[in-house]
Amino acid sequence: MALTHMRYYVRRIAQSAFTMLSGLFLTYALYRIIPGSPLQNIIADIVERQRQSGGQIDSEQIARIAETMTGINPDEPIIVGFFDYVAGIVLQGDFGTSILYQRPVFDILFSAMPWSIFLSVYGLMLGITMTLLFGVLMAWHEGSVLDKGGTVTILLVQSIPYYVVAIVMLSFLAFQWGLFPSGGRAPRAATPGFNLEFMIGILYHASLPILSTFLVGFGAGAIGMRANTVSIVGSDYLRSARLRGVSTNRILTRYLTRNAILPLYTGFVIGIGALFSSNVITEQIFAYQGAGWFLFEAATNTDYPLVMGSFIFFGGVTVMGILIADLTYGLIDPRAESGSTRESF
Amino acid sequence: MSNKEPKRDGGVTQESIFGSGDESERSRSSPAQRLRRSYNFYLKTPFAVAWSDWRTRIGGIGILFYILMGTVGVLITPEARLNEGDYFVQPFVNMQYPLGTDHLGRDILSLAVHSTPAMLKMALAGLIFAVGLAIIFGMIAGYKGGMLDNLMMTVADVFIVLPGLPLIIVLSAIFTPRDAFIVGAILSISAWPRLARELRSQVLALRSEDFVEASRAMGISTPTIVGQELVPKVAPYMLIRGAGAAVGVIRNSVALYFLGILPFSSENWGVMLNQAYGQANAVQTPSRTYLMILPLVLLSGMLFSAILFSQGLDRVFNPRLRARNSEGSREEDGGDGGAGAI
Amino acid sequence: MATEQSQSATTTQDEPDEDIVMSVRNMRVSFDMSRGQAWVINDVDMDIRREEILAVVGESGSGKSMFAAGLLDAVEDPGVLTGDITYYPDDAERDQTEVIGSFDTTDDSEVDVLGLSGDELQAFRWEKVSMVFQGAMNSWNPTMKVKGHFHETVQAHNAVLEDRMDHVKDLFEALHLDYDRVMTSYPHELSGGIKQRALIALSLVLEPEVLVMDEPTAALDLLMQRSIISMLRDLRDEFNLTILFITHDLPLVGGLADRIGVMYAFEFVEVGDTRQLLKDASHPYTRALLRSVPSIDSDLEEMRPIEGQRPDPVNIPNGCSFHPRCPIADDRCEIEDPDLVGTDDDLQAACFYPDSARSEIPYTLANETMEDDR
Repeated sequence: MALTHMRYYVRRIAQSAFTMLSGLFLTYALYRIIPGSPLQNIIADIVERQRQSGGQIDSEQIARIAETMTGINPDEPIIVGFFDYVAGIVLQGDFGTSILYQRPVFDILFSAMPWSIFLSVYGLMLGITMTLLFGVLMAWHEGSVLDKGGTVTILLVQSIPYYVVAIVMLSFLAFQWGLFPSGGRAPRAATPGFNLEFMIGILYHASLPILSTFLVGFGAGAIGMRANTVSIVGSDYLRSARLRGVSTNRILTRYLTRNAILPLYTGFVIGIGALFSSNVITEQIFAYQGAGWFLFEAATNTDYPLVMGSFIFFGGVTVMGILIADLTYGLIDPRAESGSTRESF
Repeated sequence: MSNKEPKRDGGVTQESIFGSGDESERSRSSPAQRLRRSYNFYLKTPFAVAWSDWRTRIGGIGILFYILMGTVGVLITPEARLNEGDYFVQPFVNMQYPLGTDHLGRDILSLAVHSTPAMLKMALAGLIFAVGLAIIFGMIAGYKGGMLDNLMMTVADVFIVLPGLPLIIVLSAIFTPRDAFIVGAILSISAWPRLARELRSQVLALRSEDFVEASRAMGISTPTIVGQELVPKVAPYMLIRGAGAAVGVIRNSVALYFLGILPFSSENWGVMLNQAYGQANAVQTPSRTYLMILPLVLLSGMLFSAILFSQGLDRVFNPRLRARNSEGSREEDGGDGGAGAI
Repeated sequence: MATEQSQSATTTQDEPDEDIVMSVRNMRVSFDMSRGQAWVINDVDMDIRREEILAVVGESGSGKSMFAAGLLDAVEDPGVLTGDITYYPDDAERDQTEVIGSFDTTDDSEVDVLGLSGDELQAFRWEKVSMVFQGAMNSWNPTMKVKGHFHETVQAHNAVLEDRMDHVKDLFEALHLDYDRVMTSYPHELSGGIKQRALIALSLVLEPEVLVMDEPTAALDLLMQRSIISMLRDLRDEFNLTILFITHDLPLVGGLADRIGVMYAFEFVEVGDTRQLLKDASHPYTRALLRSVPSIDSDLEEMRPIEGQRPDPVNIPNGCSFHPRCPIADDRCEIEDPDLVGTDDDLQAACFYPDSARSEIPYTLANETMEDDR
């Protein structure tokens, strides 16, 4: 039995690695082969200048210049280039050098990652708690004012995009009323470190972005949670528990929440990936230099290595999220057998 | 044996074991009757059910409003021109420019109205692409299974893994799409794989049902089975999820226009927001904030209507509800508690 | 109202008979539906005798489950339950010094079930009267082990865990269940038969007086059905239980029940001693029902289904509710509604013409139905 489990885990991990690589290859290829891509433009540019200066068109020299500028050697066939790139990562931890910032991509992202994770984790925790609370309570009081009012509230939250709220908050709370800082990760004046002033400053700067992140995850989950809970409220085992005298408290937690989460669990964990991606916009709005902010800058400035590096980061988070969801589902649902026909997405 | 007419003869319960008994009439009814029945079944009843639910009613009206604004409204309102008015006229001050003007002296209202067609086009493109790809990948993979299934799902997985928003940003930066349709198509890239997987799950579940097996045993061809049996059953779900995809497309598009990643090609709310933020510094200046409010409100309104409508659609496809409404009886939820509880 | 006879099914007395553990009077359950008011229990009187096994038999939708739910005041919204449901604790119970759970009966000679407060009702259920639902599969919380269900029930009633679990060990033994294995399993890991038996044990954990069982064997195979039936008898003997057994399967309870109550159109049409009822029922419906039971021994021509369709709770027939389908109905039956009337030693039927029924509706009962495996 354990052997089949192991085999399933290995298979899933291999699958994930494969999809990850495929995705990366796709992006890599895009940059190289699409006409009008940055690489092509740079090459055309160099060729033009060489021609104008009257010199010979030395393709090797062109390749070298192009490589310095973009990090890609255009003479190399795509597959080889890609392989080199991956090999560089796996063997040397070398993600290339950012053109824009002239620093190793790894360094940039590594220092920026924790800030993004900070935002996302807190936003997610808030989001999940509220989702559960709302969903279960609304279903328990189905049809009441709380239920109907809650539904409308959630619909509103869902339809006003998170960045709209972010912009409005930024506009009023930060700029016009000065209640919150208008950007940045930490207070400029404080010295970085584990001192109180810095710590509080960080929280202060992160509060609006976290609020915005929280909104991303809240709405849809709550409605799904409510729907699941409603169907459990009508179930036989709930009726049995009530007749047996089990307390309402216990019913709410051990029966309703515990069982209603199951269908949503996988979606939750996968949603982490989506949450991180939304950071790109949130961080831009609040000038918060996390990984998302860097991705944005890299994309708009065709800083190819940094873009690829960010992709790896975000893709990696998504893949891990999916893996974790799949592999841990068996922990919360005793009926699940890993490796079965259950759809994992 | 009594042969008097009883006052109440005990009636008949609504369900009997072998169906409602009116199938026998169907084969003998005229084409006109059948047409009327189809009309009732496919048009009138869904409409009646949809109308009865406050969500579809309000959401539907909302969507209609936007469609009108995008078609009729565009014809009525003159296009905004540069310098037609003073810069930064406040809203509700001058009735010629009821909602004020922007930094170039253009009428905000007409800007907003003329943005609508682009938004609608994007939404439509997003919906078509997301649902289309999902149907192709999901249904074929689900129904056929085997190697084809594995292949298609691997492709879908790759796209799930690629971080959606970043990918779209990168693609937009490379391709700089201008046409609203293309923008919508690109933006739907992150939505279709999840839809495809969900559709595949549904198809997998349906495939093992008895009626499919029966159809196969009768020799009905695959396209017919898929088209006539499976599609109607998954259509409602797909419609609802498709609406969700369209909502996501609009949401992301405005964000990207706002951030300046998508190039300005036509008027749209995202562009208005961008200009309000950048050119007019609306975020920091209270007197200019109105420039941001209108596009935000319009955007939220459209999303709200779409979401509400799709939530209500859920009810439309609930068969029990359809039956109640087609009988013409007033009904509220929970009215059938008796039959279910015995 | 009902005429009195010794050993009659229902008695109207001032003093509670020692024999009776629960009595029901004028019970009605109604639902408000858009097309009218549905009476799913239509003015029912019944006495349940102490330590008997009473089978309630009827078609789907005849009201049996409602009747069972009503005994625990567990009719779900939007159903409305009215009437008098009285529980009579016996002398031994009233005198006992050790009370299991919180429901205190030391002072009362009778308990008005419908008048209990929320807390009292919560204690009453499971301590005095408990229930086993249809579909054991779905009565278990899928994310909780079996022992969790037992523990939470005991704790909810403030009983001593250790004592109760010792009792459960005895119950498991009587039900042929492996205590350690079943307790530590999740519901989905157990077979249907085991789940059903464990459910029975769960319903008896607080040693109630009355056990109501709604089609407990419906989803099980024949062998399992038989074995559970015999286990029930053992349980009754060992633990002094009263059992109310609801089923649509008349032959099944032939060997188990002391008395049978036949329900039709949301009320009882015949009640009485099992052997008498099965051998020579007096109500046309019962006889027609028995005639329709497929059996190897009887002739093909003799077996016939009952014609017509079952009644609509919103549109219950005037007069005798069976008259539209009754082969011997006449004008009187269309107008007057017969009460339960004694037709034999311990047999009552709601019909004006029991003798006519007997002569007009012949049936032969298969031997296994009359089998006495006591």
